[in-house]
Amino acid sequence: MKKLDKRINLYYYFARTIASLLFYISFIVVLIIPQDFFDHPIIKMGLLLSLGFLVIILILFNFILPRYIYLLHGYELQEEYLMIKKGVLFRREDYIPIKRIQHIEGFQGPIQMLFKIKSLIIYTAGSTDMIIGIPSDDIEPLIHEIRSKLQVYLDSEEAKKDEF
Amino acid sequence: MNSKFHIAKRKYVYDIFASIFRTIFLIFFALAVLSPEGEEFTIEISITEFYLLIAAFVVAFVAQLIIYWLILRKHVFYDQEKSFVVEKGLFLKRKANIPYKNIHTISLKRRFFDLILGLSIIEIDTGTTASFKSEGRLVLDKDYAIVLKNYFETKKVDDSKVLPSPKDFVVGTSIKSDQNHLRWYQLLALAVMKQPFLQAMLIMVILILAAGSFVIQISEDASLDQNLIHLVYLCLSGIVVSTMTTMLYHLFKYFKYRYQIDQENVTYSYGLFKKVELKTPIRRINAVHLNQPLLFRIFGYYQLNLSVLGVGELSDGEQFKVESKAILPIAKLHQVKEVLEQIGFMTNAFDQEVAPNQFKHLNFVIFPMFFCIVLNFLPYFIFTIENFDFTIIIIIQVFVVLLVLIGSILSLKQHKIAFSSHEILFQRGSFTLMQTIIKKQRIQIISYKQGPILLIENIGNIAISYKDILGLIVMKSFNNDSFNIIKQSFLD
Repeated sequence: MKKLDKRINLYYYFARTIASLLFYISFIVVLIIPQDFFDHPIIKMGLLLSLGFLVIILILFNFILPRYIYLLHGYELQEEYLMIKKGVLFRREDYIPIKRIQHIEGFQGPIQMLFKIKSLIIYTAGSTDMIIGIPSDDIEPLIHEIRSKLQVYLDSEEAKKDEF
Repeated sequence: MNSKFHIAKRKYVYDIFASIFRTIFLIFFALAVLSPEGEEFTIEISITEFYLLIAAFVVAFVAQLIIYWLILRKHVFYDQEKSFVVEKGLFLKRKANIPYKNIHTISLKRRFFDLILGLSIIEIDTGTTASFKSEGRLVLDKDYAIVLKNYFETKKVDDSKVLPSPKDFVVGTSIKSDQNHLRWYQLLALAVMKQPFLQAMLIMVILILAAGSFVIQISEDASLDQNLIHLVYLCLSGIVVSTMTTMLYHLFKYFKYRYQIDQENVTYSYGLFKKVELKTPIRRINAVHLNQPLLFRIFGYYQLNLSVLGVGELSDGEQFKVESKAILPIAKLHQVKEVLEQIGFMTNAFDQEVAPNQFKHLNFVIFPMFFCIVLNFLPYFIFTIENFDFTIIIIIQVFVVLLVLIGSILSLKQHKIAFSSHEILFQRGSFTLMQTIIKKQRIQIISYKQGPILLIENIGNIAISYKDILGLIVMKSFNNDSFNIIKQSFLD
């Protein structure tokens, strides 16, 4: 199995922290605001408990789980299929037959630019799948390899039979 | 340049009504804004203001009529070499170019007012999963809609065909055969034998008995023993009314349900107040769903649904599409086999099968039962109500737990995957037995999913994504060896 870029863990720390920042700030604000600000003491307690629970989950999601992403995520391109492995607590292995691929797209967002990584989006007729964290330099050769394998199928007799 | 044809002018009647309703809404809105807050609904305006107000509304109404007329006149369709073109829009202009060869599903629909106005809606779908909306939607004269439908079907194979004019055409025919149709008593049976109906009745009875016994006991003057019979009467009348309503709904909705299968296409039509006719090529059928709700199983009936893009999706963006996907809403096994053979499914025997074999009792029976028992009996530990007779509620809860137990055991017994050289069969369900047969070449992605508990058990769920909107099947609790067998069968 081919590994993703080593910076993938850092990328997830960064991206998930930005996404969760609002909840962290809300928790700190509720913590700082004096009790008199609320009409009833139970409101502050309720807010602290619910936001605290959310913050604990988000800390696990932001800082603990990404440590294992580089270790567990990856992909493998074979003659017949592309396998994508992802997830830490909830893991999945996706097998996409090359001949079912409709088109592929390389994608790079602003945070990915910072870490010099890219994503590959794979479209089939009924679904999409994604590999996040391929080194920028590796994505073009990968797209080219998938494309050429797909072309072999598209030029074959089997493709004409499968046409629908 | 080919001639451009307009949609039916009678559609303007809908627009007139829409304008009237919108103007009335505007009147009420304006009056609500003008009325003083917190006082009685009286507005004092001078006679000049009154006339100005009326004039404003008349202008708004006439302006709408003019705009609708212009929009109607801009809604045209024409033939452009190998494509069918639909142009519409006054301010936001849209031009859809639909290659004839890509036309996937053609459906004819008639709403209640369409029947009065002699109109039909023809919808052309190319089967893309990118949009719920039909690529072409035209409101036409009911006879011309059939002619246009026939034109689409022949144009795909015969380029020389000329788009007939809506003013001068020869009336075509729709489904001719009367052989394959549902009779009225089958429709009535279908209504009450469907699983959602049974579930709704069960929930209704449980709610009436549980809530009723609670209400009776908290009102001081009444006793549960004296009023229990009233609750039973209420349940019975609820069941009778719901049954009658559901039966009537099915009778009207699926009135004259009939289908026709030829060498290339499947056509089916139904409806009394809203007539629907759908035609789709057999080669576009991605999967079939063979369902047997509880009562269907008892009486030996089956329901066969087709999975075709563009037919019976959730919404088309403008209105809900609630077309039936059932080619056989209620049928005996021999009819099902006949239709499956005609549409090219189950031609080979399913010679290999896999079923959950590790931790199956834990995942299918013990976990659901644990959660069910906790949810049912936890309130007794949290809340205490004195002088309250819990007999009915406890009986209901025991009944629910028993149902969950039976359902869990059935679910475990029926959960399996079988495969032949061309197809994979996914069987699942508890009281309703669901079998989905998918052609291997229509499966897009196969995944092995593991959550924390499944990771500990070293097993996983198999998710199959196939060519359909929301086309996903999840099969639970298979070990890695079973997954590899299925994966290999799928990738071969």
